[in-house]
Amino acid sequence: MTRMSPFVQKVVYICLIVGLLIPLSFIARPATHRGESGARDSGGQLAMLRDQFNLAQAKLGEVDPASETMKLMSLGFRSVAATSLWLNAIDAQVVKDWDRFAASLNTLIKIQPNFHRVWEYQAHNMAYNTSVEFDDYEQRYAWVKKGLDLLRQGLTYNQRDHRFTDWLGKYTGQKIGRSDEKVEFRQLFRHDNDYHASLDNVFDRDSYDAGQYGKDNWLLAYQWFNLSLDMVEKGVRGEKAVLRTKPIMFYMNRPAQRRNHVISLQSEFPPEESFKFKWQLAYDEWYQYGDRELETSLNLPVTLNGMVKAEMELRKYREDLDKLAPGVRARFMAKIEEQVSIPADVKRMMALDWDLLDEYQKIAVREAQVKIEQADQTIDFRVKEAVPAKDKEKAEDLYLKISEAFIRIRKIDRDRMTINYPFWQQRTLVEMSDGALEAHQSFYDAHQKNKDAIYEDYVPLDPETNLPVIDPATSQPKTERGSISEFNAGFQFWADAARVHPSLSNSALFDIMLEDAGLIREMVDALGKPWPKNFPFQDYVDQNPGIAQQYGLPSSAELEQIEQATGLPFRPSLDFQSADLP
Amino acid sequence: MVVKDFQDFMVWLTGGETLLNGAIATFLGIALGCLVLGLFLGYIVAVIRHGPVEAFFLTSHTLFQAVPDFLRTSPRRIYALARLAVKEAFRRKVVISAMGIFAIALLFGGWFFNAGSDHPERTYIGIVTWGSQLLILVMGLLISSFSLPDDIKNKTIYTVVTKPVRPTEIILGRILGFAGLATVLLALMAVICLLFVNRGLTHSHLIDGPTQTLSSLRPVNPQSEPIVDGRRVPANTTHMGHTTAVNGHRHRVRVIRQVIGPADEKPTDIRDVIRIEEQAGRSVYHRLVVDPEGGHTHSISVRGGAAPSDAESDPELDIGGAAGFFRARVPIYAKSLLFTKSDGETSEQGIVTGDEWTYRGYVQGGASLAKATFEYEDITLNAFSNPSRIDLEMTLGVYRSYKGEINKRILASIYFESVPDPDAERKLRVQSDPVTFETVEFDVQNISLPRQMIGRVLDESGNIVSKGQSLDFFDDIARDGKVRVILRCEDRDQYLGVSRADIYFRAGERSYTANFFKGFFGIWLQMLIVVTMAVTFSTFLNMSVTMFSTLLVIVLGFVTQFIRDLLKPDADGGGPIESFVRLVTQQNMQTPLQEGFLDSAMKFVDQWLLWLLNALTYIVPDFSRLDFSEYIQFGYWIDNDRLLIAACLSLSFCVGLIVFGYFNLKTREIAA
Repeated sequence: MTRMSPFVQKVVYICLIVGLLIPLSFIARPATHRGESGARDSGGQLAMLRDQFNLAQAKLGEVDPASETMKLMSLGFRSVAATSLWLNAIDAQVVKDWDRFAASLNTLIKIQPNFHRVWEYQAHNMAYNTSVEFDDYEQRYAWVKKGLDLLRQGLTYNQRDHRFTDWLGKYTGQKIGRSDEKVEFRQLFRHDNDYHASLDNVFDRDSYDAGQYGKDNWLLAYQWFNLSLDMVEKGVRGEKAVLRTKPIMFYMNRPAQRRNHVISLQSEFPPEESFKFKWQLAYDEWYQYGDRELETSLNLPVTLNGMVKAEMELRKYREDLDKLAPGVRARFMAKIEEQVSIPADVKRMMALDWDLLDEYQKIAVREAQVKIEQADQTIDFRVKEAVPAKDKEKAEDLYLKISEAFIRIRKIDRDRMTINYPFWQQRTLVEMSDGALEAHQSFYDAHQKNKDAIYEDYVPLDPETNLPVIDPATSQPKTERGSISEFNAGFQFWADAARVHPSLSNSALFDIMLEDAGLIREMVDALGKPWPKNFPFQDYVDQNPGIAQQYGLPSSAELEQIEQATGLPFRPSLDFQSADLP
Repeated sequence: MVVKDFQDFMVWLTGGETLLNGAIATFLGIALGCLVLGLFLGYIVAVIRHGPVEAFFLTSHTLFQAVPDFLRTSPRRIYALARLAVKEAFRRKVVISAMGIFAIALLFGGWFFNAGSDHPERTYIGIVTWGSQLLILVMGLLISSFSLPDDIKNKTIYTVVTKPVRPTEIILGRILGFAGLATVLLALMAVICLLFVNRGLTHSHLIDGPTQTLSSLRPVNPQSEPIVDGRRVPANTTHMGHTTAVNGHRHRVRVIRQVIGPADEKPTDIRDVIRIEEQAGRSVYHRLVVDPEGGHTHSISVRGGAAPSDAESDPELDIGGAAGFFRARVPIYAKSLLFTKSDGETSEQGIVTGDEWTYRGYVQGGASLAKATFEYEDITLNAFSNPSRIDLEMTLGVYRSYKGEINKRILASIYFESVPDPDAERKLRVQSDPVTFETVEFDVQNISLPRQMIGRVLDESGNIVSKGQSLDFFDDIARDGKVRVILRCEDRDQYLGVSRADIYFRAGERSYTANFFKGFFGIWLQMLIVVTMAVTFSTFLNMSVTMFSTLLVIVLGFVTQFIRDLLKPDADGGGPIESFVRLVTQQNMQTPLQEGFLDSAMKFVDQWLLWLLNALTYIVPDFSRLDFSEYIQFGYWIDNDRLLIAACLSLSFCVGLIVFGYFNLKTREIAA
């Protein structure tokens, strides 16, 4: 066997290396943009595969040298290094060594920049778990921002993954706007000019500025969700992002921020005329969302506002089918109605045109229909079977349409309930009215007067003359409402609104309002006065005994019992449990 | 910083009251054990090769020859061999490669640092010390693993062994040569790292505003406006502004009112004073301060120096360089910590709040009896560099059992108490009046108190004998150097967490540079062990096996504590075999296994395996005890006791390894 000299060996090795580098340089060539025209070279096979599977930065300019060096340095031990760093970060978190924790994550993300779970988990970890470890709210806020910054860093590596902008929107909105420290966080956010400056290359600062109320985290969240929407609909540099969450949830995010924004403002500032406009915007966007065609798992596109249309279609198809077999449905219905009890007025409503029904009537009719369908799901089939042979084909076609319309209604109904669509539609509609603004003003004044211990209506005195102020319209002494009356006025508005919009009363909104009813209870207790007889929310109190009990609110039955037993109206200060009841 | 080890060198060495518990006794015991075991194994090997009688003579001969070999070891020949080793190391280009890697790492190191972190100095120092440690250990391993096996393989060892050279000299020469070379490199690395960290953290700010004058700060009134721009304003603030943002952070600049009473000592350094007012016999100093951010602050002064008295003037302000990154605080830790619960019961463990990490015990707030008592010794006048002020520093944990007031921190109070003389007839206690303060979590909080305090005297039953007394801290409270510090939580049903090291007296500050080199001394000790181990292993193993064996020992040395944690008797999941069975049968770590023969057998084998594993952790050096990087990261002076313990541990390992290596080389035919 002949042996090559070392020199020849070296030459052969170098030639082999160079020989291998040439094809490698072709298949690994990164994607580039060329010139003003934006002509694009999609790069070599490896770059295309990386791009296709979103594995790494496939284009020049996106490559982060620190990350690439780190990956290179870890040689084949990248997974070992990643595991070790995860363990180190977990350990640092346990022993509350926050600098080590942050440093471990800083290295970790450079090793696994395209693994979205790392970003999601650790950003959440920082913003939610680590931030609450600190006693000082300013430090908590700093850690929330660190979580947000981590996600923004992740976004630079994953520019076509809308989940990053979704998380950014979610954390910016919810963590800053809904945590225990929301008032302090929002205040810090409003004045955090450095953070706003860091966003200048992403958003125009005015886009999340609420005018006199300053920068708003909900409006920034809106912008992040808007970016998500753009990613999916318009794409990033000509390439659309793949939708990775359910459409119903994805498209809900952006419009939901409008109302969150105004709800937060209402809780922090005195009511303003501009709030009506903000609610109008919230309503418009929510309605547009309801009109958006959403893909479903059944391959049956639906719109959330399409409920009425689908219900009317179903009615029409059924009427057409009934025309082919007159009286058949009525016979079956008569039998079913014997089995399921449907009140006579609901039966009358069922015969009426859908548009003529109010919201409460529609609910009653829907419930009756569900009962009937549950009792016998084969009515349409049996009506179809009863159609004479000559119209069979037409009946089959109508039956198919009925089935499809039925599935669509079920799907729309489920989706609407999943995201509480009707409630928010009705609430935004009510909130943009003058009455709602006045009701908020009443609640606001009620709280102020409660703090000032002005519980009852009073006659204001002129500070100069010390005499009652005369109302020029009536020439009588002017009467100002006390806290109890202010609360009652606010409650009255919402009770009236709930009569027209039933979704309002089945929501947490009214539960929260009952906390204010608890304040009324405390005030009448302090005054030794009876519980207001016509308390506007009395029906709601009766329907929710659990919450009512929490705030010590009496039900109608208890009021009646006390009054009958003692001959006196209910006074909260009396322990009616121990009263001598029959 | 987590400190669990408070050992005194002399106590560690001699075992305090029990000599057998001391390091000397342990070392002698292990040495004797190794000698007996070595003789026995050597004799057995010799019996197999030469028969029992000759084996006896050979073993005795080798043993007795060792005495002159060690005693007559020539420093001159060691030096000559060490020089050869250095030359050889240079020839292998390992040194140049290591320095090349080090240079590249520093050049591009900035990419991996996050200057905007809460304590960038900790990240910087942590990474440079870790990098230096890794590089020097790998370099030490490479240069010393290849040397002897290569010489034996290439038969160049004959050029040495044919000379009048003893095996001790061959081993020591190589160790000293390689270690000497690595020492020079490590020293170089330490200097470069120090400059690198300094350069990376040096920065300055300007006042963020239209001018660099006081008018860029806006007047504030904390009484009517306690929160400005969402941030709380300290009560004594009169003006507030910000610096410009540099390295991802900015500082708040404030003017504070400092009231100096007629009896108080007036400040001598008034470069940061913008105005002095006289009010009702007291002087009010309007001082500039830069609030700490990211682990440091900046000095600030009025340009020109003198304090203008005119309220209308608009003095120019100068912000200095970063201060507080590089510190070497000298702490005096408590000798004991005792918790008192709300019912008066005392224990060494505080209340457990459910935290996974049990380093800190918690004190309940608002309960009259609940407190944490730290007892100190050696609190003498001489121990403090500035005895006119008593600097207490603390790192407290906070646990809120209810939300409370979100925009207020938890309140704590602290006071000093004398330790009654047990021989005194009347055991009186002297207490200072409590100082109440808002706690700062996860950071070092400083409370600086004047030496002269107001307090009271109590008798044995706790009755007040006298109050409102003027007390001298050293003369009246810390008599004989003994003093107690009592911490209480003032917010009802909130909790404060402390460990023994969490409250200490800051006796002074030492040179940061010296401390930095002390930190690198720990790395040097690790390097010394690695080099000695590799040279020793290379006396009987070939190159690659030497390298991997040493590497294995290094890895084991770094995870010693982890292994010991695994071996704790209450560890979930059992030993290695039981864990494996649970893994493949998908049973969690707490489910009891089905009892029976197999279970018992498995546990029996596991017990032995765990014993072996435990024994293994004692024959490899615990490198975590030689690692002082945390001290320089967190800015604490590395005390000499700690260094001496580390040095003794390392040297004993090296001595053992050298003796082991000597006998290996001596009995190898190549060197016979």
